[in-house]
Amino acid sequence: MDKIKTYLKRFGAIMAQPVIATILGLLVGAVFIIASDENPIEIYQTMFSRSFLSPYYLSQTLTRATPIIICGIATAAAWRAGYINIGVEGQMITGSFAATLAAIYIPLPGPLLLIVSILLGMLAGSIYASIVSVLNMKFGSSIVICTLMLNYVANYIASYLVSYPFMDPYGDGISLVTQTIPESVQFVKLSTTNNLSIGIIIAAIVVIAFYFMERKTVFGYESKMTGFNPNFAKYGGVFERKVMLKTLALSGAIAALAGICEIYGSKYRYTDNMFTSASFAWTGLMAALISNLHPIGIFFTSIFLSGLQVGGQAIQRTSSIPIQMATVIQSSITLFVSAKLGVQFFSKWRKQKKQEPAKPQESKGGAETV
Amino acid sequence: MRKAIKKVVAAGLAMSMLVLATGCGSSAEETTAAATEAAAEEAADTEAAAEGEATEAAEDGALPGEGVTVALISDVAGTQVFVLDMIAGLEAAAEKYGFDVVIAECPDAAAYEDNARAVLEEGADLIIGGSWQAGDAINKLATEFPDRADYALVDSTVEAENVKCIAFREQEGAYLIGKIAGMVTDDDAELFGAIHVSQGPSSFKWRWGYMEGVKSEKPDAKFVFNYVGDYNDPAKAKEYAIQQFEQGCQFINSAAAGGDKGTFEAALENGFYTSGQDVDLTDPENPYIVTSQIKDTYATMVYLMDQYFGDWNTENETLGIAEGAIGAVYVTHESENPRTDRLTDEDIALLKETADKIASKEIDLSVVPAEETYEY
Repeated sequence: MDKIKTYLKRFGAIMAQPVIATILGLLVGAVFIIASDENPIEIYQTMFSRSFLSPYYLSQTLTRATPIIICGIATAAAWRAGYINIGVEGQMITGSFAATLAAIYIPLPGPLLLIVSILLGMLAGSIYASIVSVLNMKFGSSIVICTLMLNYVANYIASYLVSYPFMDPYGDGISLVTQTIPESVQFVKLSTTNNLSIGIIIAAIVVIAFYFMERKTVFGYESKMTGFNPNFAKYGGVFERKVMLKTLALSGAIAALAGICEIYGSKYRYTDNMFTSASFAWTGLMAALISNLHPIGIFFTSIFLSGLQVGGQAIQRTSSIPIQMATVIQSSITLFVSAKLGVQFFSKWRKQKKQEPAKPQESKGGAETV
Repeated sequence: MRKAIKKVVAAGLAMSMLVLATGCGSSAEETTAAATEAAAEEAADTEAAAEGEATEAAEDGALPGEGVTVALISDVAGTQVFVLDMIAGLEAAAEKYGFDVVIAECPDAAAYEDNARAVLEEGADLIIGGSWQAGDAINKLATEFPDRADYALVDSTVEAENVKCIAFREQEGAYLIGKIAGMVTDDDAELFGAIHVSQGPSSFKWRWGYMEGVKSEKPDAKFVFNYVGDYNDPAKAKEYAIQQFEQGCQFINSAAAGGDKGTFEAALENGFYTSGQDVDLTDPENPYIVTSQIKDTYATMVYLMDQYFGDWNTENETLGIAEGAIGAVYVTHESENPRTDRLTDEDIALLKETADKIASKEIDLSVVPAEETYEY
């Protein structure tokens, strides 16, 4: 009985933070909604019923969450080892572009082509990430700066390739897209009305696999140690450079998988700027940071964040609130969740209340106004 | 001492509350005043519309579009006249036919399909894609759900046969701009500039028409092109314009969407000629904007909706000068702003003749060559 009680208490403590943060975020958002002459309760009702609470929109949210979850894991893979990889976007573009081209141009039978093209894509992503480790080992260049800058390199190279050599001149020939990938490699769909595919299952598998790798394997332990204290890890016999190479390559491969799931699962072709404009990688990074790099946390945070985006679109569509305002509402919720202000503010306030009974009148007055 | 401070703070708070309260009061009054005004205007408009539709209304007892929902999947409007005009055109048509309008602005590449699927789920009867990025989403929906709604796409073309695609022959307007550029510059001018949003096939349409137009006046002309890389970056457009001017361009065609303002500013400061795009951007304060290329999305939307409630078919169309959707200010479209002295009446007569020739295909610009094969 006691065990259950402590368990519930712990669960409550974990959940309190995001819930309070969300409520604070909603309150701030309400100010903006009132400023645009709408009823906040109605707006929030649309926002949540059209992102989480009905099956159609939930599957839309999950579709959008798929690449975000995997990007979050890719970020966590590198960050927990102390390598600040903010180049997930670039690795995602390189990897998925390579996989798309492989799927279009390599003549292989269906299932084999699926596996080969995905592996090639992941290889491309990990090689792209490894450029950074090589630069760091040879010249001591900063991993943060290199990974960030290589995002632009990847996006502009892909942009050139999709504008000229690999452009599909269908229609009137002005769309910057590659050909569609053959039907045999497209992911099986889980829904008839929208794009939810087995990509979400792949994302879940990645989360679980990463969870076990982190806790049960030598590599997972070594990279975690390096993250906690590189000197200690070195002293304990961890070969740091090897860990860096492996970690960044793994991160790049997972990032590539994120892009592949988006293309194979819902878009079926590479479109210019498709990952940068949707900023999957950055949302994934945010999810990873909010949940302290914990894989299960990343899974749910990503779904929450993508739900906010889907709900934001619904607000713009169905009310007079302009898209910019919808983004402000989205961001204010995200801000509170990510700033972890909620709990700290709340506990500080409670502490103060406990300390203050010496001056009963003032604190009472304070409590009433709050 | 502490008490004094408290008093001051309290007084300050009270003051600010008062200011806030009065501020709110006046703004509330203003908004209500504005609202009543708007309502009055609307009433007048609907009256006018009702009169126009009186015959139809008398027969049916209701407008033909009642109960119909039309959704537009567009780029984020912001200050982009191209999108804003499209929305305005659709809303004007809605007033005429009485259908409901849903505008879904898409902030990112994934949102086009998300929104398109969502509006279909929410019961839209006609889904219009408003840019090439919406093309894929519309194409997929039209293939997957041919019976659940009607589909249309503006400014691009896709494969699905049940999508009504309306594209534009922008090169025809660009040709006129190029010809004007050749006319307003000095006789020895050789270098002509242009500032675009991005390289690639969609801007080559414009560049090709422009180059052909300039060459019809100045056969030895050379060209400089720069690409801003963003639909809304006046600062960068201005820098490029100044660079091109320093290289010797007397005319710089601005086709940088929201960036055009930057080019115009540079033109006013440095004294070179320029032109805008999409709508009439000539300005009595800035005599260097000698013309503006027209791409009339307002009329296009009205035309599309007239078809939808009249004789609906899904045959693809391209609109150009002949259809009145493309053109140039002072040539095919009049302007209330005064014309520059560099364009004489003879020039205008010649330009109008050229426009007629393009419309009648005597000067055939309907096929744009591939960029790789075109030499300039």
